[in-house]
Order: sequence, then structure tokens, then C-alpha cells
Amino acid sequence: MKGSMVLCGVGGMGILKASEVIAEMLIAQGLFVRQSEVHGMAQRGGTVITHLRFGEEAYSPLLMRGEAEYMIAFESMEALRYTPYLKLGATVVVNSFCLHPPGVNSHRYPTNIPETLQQAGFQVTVIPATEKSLKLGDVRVANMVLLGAFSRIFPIGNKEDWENAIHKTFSGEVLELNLSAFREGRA
Amino acid sequence: MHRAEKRIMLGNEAFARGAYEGGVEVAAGYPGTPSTEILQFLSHYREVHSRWSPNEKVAFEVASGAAIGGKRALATMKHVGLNVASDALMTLVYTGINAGFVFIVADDPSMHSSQNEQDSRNYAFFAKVPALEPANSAEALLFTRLAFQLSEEFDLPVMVRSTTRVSHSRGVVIPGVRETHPVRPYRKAAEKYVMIPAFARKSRVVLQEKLKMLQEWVEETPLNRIEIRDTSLGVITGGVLYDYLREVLPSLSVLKLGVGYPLPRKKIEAFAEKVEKLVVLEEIDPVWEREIKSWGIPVRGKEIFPEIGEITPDTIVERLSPEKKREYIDLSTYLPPRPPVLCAGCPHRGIFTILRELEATVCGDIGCYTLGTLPPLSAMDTCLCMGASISLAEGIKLAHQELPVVAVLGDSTFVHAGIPPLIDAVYNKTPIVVLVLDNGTTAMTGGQDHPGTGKTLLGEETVRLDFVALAQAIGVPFVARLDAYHLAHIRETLQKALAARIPAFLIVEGLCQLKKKERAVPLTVEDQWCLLCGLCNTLGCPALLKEEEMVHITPERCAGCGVCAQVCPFCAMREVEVR
Repeated sequence: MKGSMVLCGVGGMGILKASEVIAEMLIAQGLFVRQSEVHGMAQRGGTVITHLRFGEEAYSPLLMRGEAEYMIAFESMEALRYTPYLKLGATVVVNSFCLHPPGVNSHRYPTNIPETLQQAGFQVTVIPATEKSLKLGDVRVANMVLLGAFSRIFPIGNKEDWENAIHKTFSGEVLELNLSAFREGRA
Repeated sequence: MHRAEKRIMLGNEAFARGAYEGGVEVAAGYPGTPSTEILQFLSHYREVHSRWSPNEKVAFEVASGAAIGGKRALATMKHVGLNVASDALMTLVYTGINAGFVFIVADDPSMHSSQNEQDSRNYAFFAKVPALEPANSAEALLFTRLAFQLSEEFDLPVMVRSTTRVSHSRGVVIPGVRETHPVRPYRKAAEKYVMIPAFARKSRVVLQEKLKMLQEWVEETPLNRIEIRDTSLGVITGGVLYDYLREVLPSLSVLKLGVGYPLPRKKIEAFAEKVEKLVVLEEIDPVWEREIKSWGIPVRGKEIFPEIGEITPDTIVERLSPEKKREYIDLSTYLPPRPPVLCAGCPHRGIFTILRELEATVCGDIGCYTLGTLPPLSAMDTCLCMGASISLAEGIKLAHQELPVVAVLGDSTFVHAGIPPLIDAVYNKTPIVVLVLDNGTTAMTGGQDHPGTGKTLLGEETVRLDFVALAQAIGVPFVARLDAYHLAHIRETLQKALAARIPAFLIVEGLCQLKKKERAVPLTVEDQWCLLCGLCNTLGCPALLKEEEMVHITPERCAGCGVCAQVCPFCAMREVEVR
């Protein structure tokens, strides 16, 4: 069992936390994980990507172009930006949320993003994760809604495995909220 | 009984763990991407005295002193921080240490969050300091732990060199238990620790003897590992590049260098014998290639691999085995870019708007405010290195008396390297205006405390450095304290300061947006007043969107700072009514 994925979006959307949960879940299955992430300046509302590789052996924390089997896009347009990392026909879970870059005229924001991805041959699932998170009362848990949706598609880990990983990553009052967001996304 | 348990750790967490297990007692550093989290993780281990220092030189010296005193000690910094600490390093190799002294330096190939991409391995060769090169989290832990032993064995400081992809990648580690060492006795030994010329000349000879012994060790250590597979090509590499290579071209023969300096000459010669062709795969400078070539071994390096920027798995495949490239689809063409920006509500935004309006020559510094460089704020004329805003401003003023020259730097940067140049401006009577944007934290690296915040790394209350009193003590003739969100007052004071033609020090206070706790009341645009003049859009605020026929404020993003309302000539921005 081996594979790889990218998580992408905009700094501050909880991408690191989501990839931490995935890594914890995979480790608990006895797999090795390598993952690279972006800190520092790129987090000030800039574009962000995390690479994750897993398997009985896993060395490189960076992926090659054309390699990732899965993508979780926390913002619609960022899904398009990182398509070069995807294997042909890869699975893409994309948040329907669109965040316009500041100072850019809004007509430059692409339309029909899911259709564009589908036409390029990717398996696309669109999730209104931000909307759902707002209904749960906190936009910050959109990441767990997306993860819940992803967990249905991803072949490794059952509901319990995922929830155990969430328990390992969060504590205190935010734990319950993150768990309910995950369940909302998985439902 | 300790149970070995697999854990996934960020590289920087593993460095901290390695230092902890290696029995470190004192640790000091200054925040800098990609090194910052090492000390933050280490501060969770309460057995270790961890602290932020005002700058890397102080951190390095405090840790050196602790080691000389008899406790194992660590200093952490980013690559450019080692420039600041290098003065101490260059002579510490002469004195040696007592208890183990390790410093971790994190390079940033491709400059993800830095002003240059210098290669710290050059410092290892320059200072003659042994340097270890971990490839991943497991090695970050192991090598850091080992570095303390090595340091004591050879009575030398030891460098552990990281890069962004080692520090900021996660990997599996098996944590161990902490070694404990009694504090070593401290004895006065002037010949060893006082580097007056007579003693330094002797120490230089001692250093050479240590290097000879180190050379024997480096040939034997398993940290340098030969892996013979397909012998048509042999690759000498180290750090994270080893992990890339192992992933994408696993059949090649490799000499993995875990020690970046000194190089194991015999081992390299033996490896060269076993393979048909030899290449060096190294990031940034051809440091190893130069050395190996100097021994007359035929090897290629930078004629194959780029000398600029980070090397990725893609680069390795393209240059060594292009047939292995994969097909991919690129849907990213024509997408608008999404660069990092100053946060909505950032206290720096207003001041940059005023500086632009006054057409000031702005010497900037290292920190979040560099995000105000690009349009629409276009706020900076220069940004060189920590603290250089003030001294560069002085120089530009000397070249052009007629320019309104302003230095802009943050609170943490001011403490780091801004105080001597401020003294210089007063001493030499250079009529510049120094603006310290005091947001109460080291913001760009994620919000660390410093002497101006009144809190230590361990969260203890401490004496808070009073910037105004400091400036007055230095003798700055024009000192004022300003509110970052009161634009009219800032404008008026700044104009006065520039007109006065004397050194001026203005402290502009406004808490970092990331540190604010209370929920903001967002603003909204009242369409009947908005004439679409676009002035608010020149603020570069991520909460403001200009649609075809209207300006819109995204309520979830708006921090309610009111800067746009102060800029709008038609008073179209109002607070959203709270029901």
C-alpha cells in the first residue's frame, strides 16, 4: 500500500491541521508518512500547498509533478493552480468556496472550476464545506468537513480510525466541534 | 520502562526532541523561518532553560557561555542569523567548549521566507566547525543528540545544518529517553578561554590537531554511508536530497554524507573507485564538489544540477533520468496570482498609506512590513538585513539631503539590530525619521515574545523594554508615541518630524492582528455614498473587493480597523449595526 496526495488552499484555512490528522491516521495503520508544508511568509493569505506521501516505505516529502493520486482543495481556484502535481485521472475533493485574491479584479477569477477539472479527466467531488462549517458556527472547521468527505473516498481507514486521529490532533473544547464537523462532512 | 513508540514529528520538533534527549540544559535563539519552531518545541520541556534572545549573536554567546560553564547548550537560528552570530563562532572554535555546544542553523533554498539563500555549509568550512546534515525528522533527532557527544569528544562547537524541507516536513521518529549529565566543573583557564593573541596562536595549533582527529573520526562514522546498487552512476549527496533521490531513483549507488564538514576523503575515494561515473548532488553552492575536485577526483555537479534555488524530486529526475518524467495536466495558466499580503486590520497599513502620500523615501527592514512592498501600497525603497533600515536611511540622507528619508522597522527587529544605528543617527546628527512599528510581537515568524513585549519564551512576566525611555536615553531630540489607527495624528507628527530636520523617533503602536482577542465589528460600504473612486482599493486590504460596479467589504474578513473609513473621501464606510 502506497500513495500520495496534495492539500492546497489559502494560508489560514487549516490545511496543516488537516494534513496532520491524515498523517496520524496513516501512522496508526502502521504506514510510514512523509509530508512537507509551508510556514512563514506564505501563510499571510498566500497560496499554500502540502505534499503527503505514505507507504511501507516513504522517503521524499515532496512529490513529483504528475504523481499525486488525491487532492483536497480548500479553495476552488487553488485546485486549478496545483493540478500539475496530479496524476492523470486523480481524485479531487474541492471546497465550493471561492476566495478572491485581494486587489485582483473579480472577473479574473475563473468560473466553472469543477467542470474544468472534470473535463481534464479528474474525478471531482464538490463539497460546500465552508457553508457547512458556518452552520456549525465556526468557519475554521471547514477543514474537518472536507476531511470527512475525503474519508469516504479514501480507501484507508474507517470512521473510528479517522476519529482517533482527530482525538490525537485536537484537545479541549475544540475537539468536539472538529469531530462534529468531520461527521457532517462524512455523512 | 521506556516503550519505543512511533510518532510523526515536524523536523523542527525532532531537532528539539534530539536536543532534549541529548541532555541540553540551556537553549537560546532568535526566531527566523524555517528555524523558529525548534526553540518553541523545546520550551515545552520544562527541564530545559529555553529563552528568546534579542538576536542570534546574543543567543549564540549565552549558549556558548553555558557550555563553557559546564552545561550542555544549544543555539538555534536561520541561515542569515548565523551571519549575526558568526563573530562568536569564528573564535569559539579556537577556545573550544567544556560541556557540549550545538547550534542548529536552518537554510532556506529558494528563499521561501528569506532575503537570500546563502549556504551555511560555507561557514563550516570557513570556521572549521564540524557540521552534520540530517535528511529527515528521524535523523534530525538522532544527529542533534549525537552532536552533543561529538562536541564534547572533540571539545568543539558542532553545527547541525537544516534546510526548509527538513525543518518543515514531517516524518516518523521513535523518541528515546533523556540523557542526564551532571554539570561539569568550571575552572578558570585563561589560556583556553581568553583569546589574546599569545593564547590564540596556541589555540590555533590546538584546533588543527583537533581537526586531524576529527578527520579520522569522519572516515569511520556510520553517518557517512556507502550504498552500492547500480554502479553505472554514483551520487554523493546529503540532507533531504538523499530522501528525494532514494524515492525517485532508488537503483543508483549513493554515498550519503551525514557529515557535511569535514569530508571523508578516503571514503569518497573508495566510492569513486566503485562507480563508473560520479556526481555530487547538493543544493545551492558547489561546496562539496569544489572540495572533491581539489583532490583530483573526476566528478560533476553544478554542470548538471542548478546552482540557484532548491532542488526538487522533479529536478533530479529531469537531470538524471528524464525518461522517468510523468505526464500531467496544467490548469494553472492564466490564474491570477495569490501572493501573501498584510492581514486585514494590520496596524502597518495606515502608516504605509501616509508614507506613500508624503512621497517619503522609505528604508524598510525584515518583517511583515515587507508585504507592503508591492503595489498597491508600494511602500518600500530598500530592505537589506535586520536593522539596516536605520543605517541605510542615514546613508541615503548623506547622499541626498533634500529627500524626506524615513526608516521603518518593527519592534522585534529594532531590538535585534536597530539600537546601534539609532545611536549612530543621534551621534552623527543625521536628520532621518525612525518609525518603529510596534505590534507587540515578532509577527512574521508567527508571534514570538521579545524584550519589548514583557514576556519570556516560557511565558513568564519580565521587565518590558520601554522604547520611548530608550530613545530618550540615547538622546533622540524628537520622540513621539502614536496610535497606528489614528491616521491624521500620524500624518501631522510625521510632517513635523520631517520639517524639524533633526533625528526623530516615532513609535507607532497597534497590536498585531494575529494577537487580537476581541471580536471586531466589521465595516460596510454604503452604496449611495460610494463614488467608486477606488482610493480604498489602494490600501491592499484583503477584506475589500472591487466588483464591476461596487466596492464590497467581506464581513468575515473585516477586522473593523477603520483605516479604509479614514481614507474614504466620501465617508462611505460605516460600522455594521449590531442587533
